[in-house]
Amino acid sequence: MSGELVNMGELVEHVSDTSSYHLPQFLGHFDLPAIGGLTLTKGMVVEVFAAVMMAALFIPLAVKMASGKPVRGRFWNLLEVFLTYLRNEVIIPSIGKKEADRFTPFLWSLFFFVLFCNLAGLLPWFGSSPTGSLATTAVLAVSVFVVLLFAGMKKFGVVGFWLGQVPKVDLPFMLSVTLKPMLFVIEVIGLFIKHVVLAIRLLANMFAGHLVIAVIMGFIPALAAGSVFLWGGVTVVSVLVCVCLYMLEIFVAFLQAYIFVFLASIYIGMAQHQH
Amino acid sequence: MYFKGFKTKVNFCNRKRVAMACAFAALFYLVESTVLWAAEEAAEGAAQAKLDPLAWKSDLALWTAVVFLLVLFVLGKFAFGPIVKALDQREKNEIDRLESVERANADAKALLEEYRHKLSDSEAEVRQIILDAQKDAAKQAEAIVADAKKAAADEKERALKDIQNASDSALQELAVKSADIATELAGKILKERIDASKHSQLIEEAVQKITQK
Repeated sequence: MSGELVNMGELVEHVSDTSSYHLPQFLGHFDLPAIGGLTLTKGMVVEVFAAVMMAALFIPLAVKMASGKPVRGRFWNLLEVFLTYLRNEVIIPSIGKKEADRFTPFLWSLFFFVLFCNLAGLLPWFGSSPTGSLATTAVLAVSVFVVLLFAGMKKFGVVGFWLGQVPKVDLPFMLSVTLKPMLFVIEVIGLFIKHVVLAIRLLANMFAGHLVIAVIMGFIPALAAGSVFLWGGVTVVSVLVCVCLYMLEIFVAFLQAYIFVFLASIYIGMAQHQH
Repeated sequence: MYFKGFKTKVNFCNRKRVAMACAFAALFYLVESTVLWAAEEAAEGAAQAKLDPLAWKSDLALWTAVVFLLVLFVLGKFAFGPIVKALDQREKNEIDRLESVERANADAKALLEEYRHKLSDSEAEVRQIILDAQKDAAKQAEAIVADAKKAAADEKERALKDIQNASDSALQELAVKSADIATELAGKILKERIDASKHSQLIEEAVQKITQK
């Protein structure tokens, strides 16, 4: 049993953000270097990979679109469909036509950064989704919060923005004096909690998905010491289930990126149009 | 009867259904126990690998912040910013194109209406021209006939006058000749009794008498 647990622990370690790549056994492990006091991890490499991929895809697309004519080619059209869908169906309805374009580049960056980080985590040996770590999702949620705060305060002024958090309700003076400060506190706490949940939701989904795949693959080494027939059967079933879960994970990668940006758009929209 | 039939049908499929239900139950039990076992194993494995998704990693947070800010800056400047502008421009172009197409359509309709009017006007004009031409032709024909009639009448009158003149001059000539002959005859008869002045007086009287007749 202890041997099995060592296998399981090592396997689970594959989905965590470590500083070494666990390549197939004959290739051994590849340790990432440390830059100054900073030890590089797989997640950091994935983030750089995501950034480079985004630049490699969208800068040429921008050049192609600059002429004002529709882009040609299935691939470029596919990319454009992502962008226009997010802009027309998510960002503009949430924020409003007038203000939407100020936030569109930020929300596009957010979507593709999260998406590529999610997807890169599924690449064998290479991947470890940085979005399965609180540090990454928290930074992204904080970036949404900062954008929302600055944009809201720019539009309504510092005092106007914070006072606007209290919903406008017609109350008698005495009730208003007591209830409104309470409402203010609840709304401000709600504002923070929304962003914390934004970070946790993405983190939990990505972490859980990878862990489930790791565990189901873990059945194979766990049963290696037992009967050959049981091991063979479990291996086949585990691989098949993992293939299905992998497909589900690809879907979840898109879905969570979409949900993250969808909620971020709604929060920014709410800060731009106070109740 | 219904119950009987139903029972027969159930009996007919019973073996298959029972087998399937058993298979599902076994599969469910297998999956459930496997998942529970997997969860235990995962928890142990995660604990062993010190895997805590909520663990705060400052290095990764700082790295993420830097990379994401770079992404925002670089892509905002070279990709997403220009793409937003391009989409706006494309939208504007589309709207302009649609408006110009609508304008062209309206112009074409107006032009069509104008040409239809012109066409109906010209048809009326052509009809009027034909009517006028017919009227003119009729008038001209009447004038020609009237002229012809007048010319014929004039000709006839002139001919009658000529005939009258010829008749008068013939009569006068005849009278003169008759008078001459009569005078000559009377002279011959009255030779010697009438002098020259009496002679010419007699001639004139004779001529007048003849012309009066």
